[in-house]
Amino acid sequence: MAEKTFTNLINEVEVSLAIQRLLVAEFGGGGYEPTSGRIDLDALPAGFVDLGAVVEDTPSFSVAKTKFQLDAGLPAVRQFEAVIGVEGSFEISLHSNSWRKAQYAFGNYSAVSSATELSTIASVTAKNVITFANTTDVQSLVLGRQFVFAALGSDFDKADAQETRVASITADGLTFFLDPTPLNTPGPTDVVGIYDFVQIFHGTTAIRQHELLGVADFIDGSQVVHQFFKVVAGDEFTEEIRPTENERLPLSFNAFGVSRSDVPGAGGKSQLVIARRIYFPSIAVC
Amino acid sequence: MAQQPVNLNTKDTFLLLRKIASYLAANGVGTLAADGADAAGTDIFMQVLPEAPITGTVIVSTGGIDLPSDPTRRPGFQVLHRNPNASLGLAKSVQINRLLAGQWNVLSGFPGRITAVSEPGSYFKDDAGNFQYFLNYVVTSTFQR
Repeated sequence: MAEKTFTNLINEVEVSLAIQRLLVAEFGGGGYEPTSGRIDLDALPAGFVDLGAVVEDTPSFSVAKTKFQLDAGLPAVRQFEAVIGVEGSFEISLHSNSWRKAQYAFGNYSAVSSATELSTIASVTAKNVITFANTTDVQSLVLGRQFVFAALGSDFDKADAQETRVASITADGLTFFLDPTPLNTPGPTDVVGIYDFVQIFHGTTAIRQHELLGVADFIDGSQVVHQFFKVVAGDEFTEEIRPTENERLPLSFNAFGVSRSDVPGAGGKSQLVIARRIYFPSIAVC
Repeated sequence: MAQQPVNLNTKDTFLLLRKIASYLAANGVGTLAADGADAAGTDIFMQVLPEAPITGTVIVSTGGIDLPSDPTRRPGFQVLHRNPNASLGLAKSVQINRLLAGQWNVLSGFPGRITAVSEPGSYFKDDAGNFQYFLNYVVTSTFQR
């Protein structure tokens, strides 16, 4: 029997689930170009930082065309359309109250923590247990103190630098138990620093430009990447801090156009584009 | 007539329970018989919790949700843990919940996410006075019907 439309068979390789994460880089850093390998969150493309946990239902990638439309005749019917504008936006909310993430929402300012380096970690026993070589350097790391750790020679002000707190200290004052447990294990030569405050101003006319990657790993092994080549922070920023839920930091970005000569169908000629969607098929059992 | 071999490629509900039981056993929750059947020395079971041993865990299918327009599948299951000691029972429930709640792709062959319906903790006593803890989950999966 011939297949009927109402059987509506689904191609199961096209059905899967994912959560989209946001990677951000300064615009002009060379840009991301897809290769044979998908984006690995453990080895990010050069210049990009991972903004961490997202509120799962919030990522929204949208583009819209503006068209010139010509209706003619009696009755008037559409006889011509031409694209005269394209705009795009990316919106997402993060599970975060950190200044490291908030600076991207403001769009005008790169916050600086100016953390003071205290010491180098001597050894790491576990993700949440680190040991220093002497007590003098880390006297200010008292119980409850929030601090940042980063690889030797790297930047305490990185957007994805990790912070945690001191939960307990052994009697010799050298071994520190950390809570919350850091997402990534501290390196055995990482440096530790503290800062007193970070201020970010609303205002100024400055607008920072970034490049965005929305990365979605599907559970069947495929990956979809939304890329905005050049964006600025959205027009509005609303921060709502409530007692009934963790802080959700909303980020929105408006897309700018860039000129590219690798757009299919354009004969190698430069075309103005704002975004692209990249699909990577599964290459291994996940 | 020769008995038909069981088609292990059939990703049915029982196999899902089997995968969950194996996963919990592999992560130290208890001991599961190799064939999944009740056997001496085992304390993880499927569908039915036998009278002995008293301290044991059973994984029970609870149906789940079938949304007509959604090609993903959402089978539900309950993990019931029985323990004569209330605090040990709660500790075991928390251990099980940490292994299951919010986990992605932990069951081989069942791509999907396990979502907890509630936090661990609720219990009641059975006729013999043992504490029974209930943990309910839904799997959102793309495995085939």
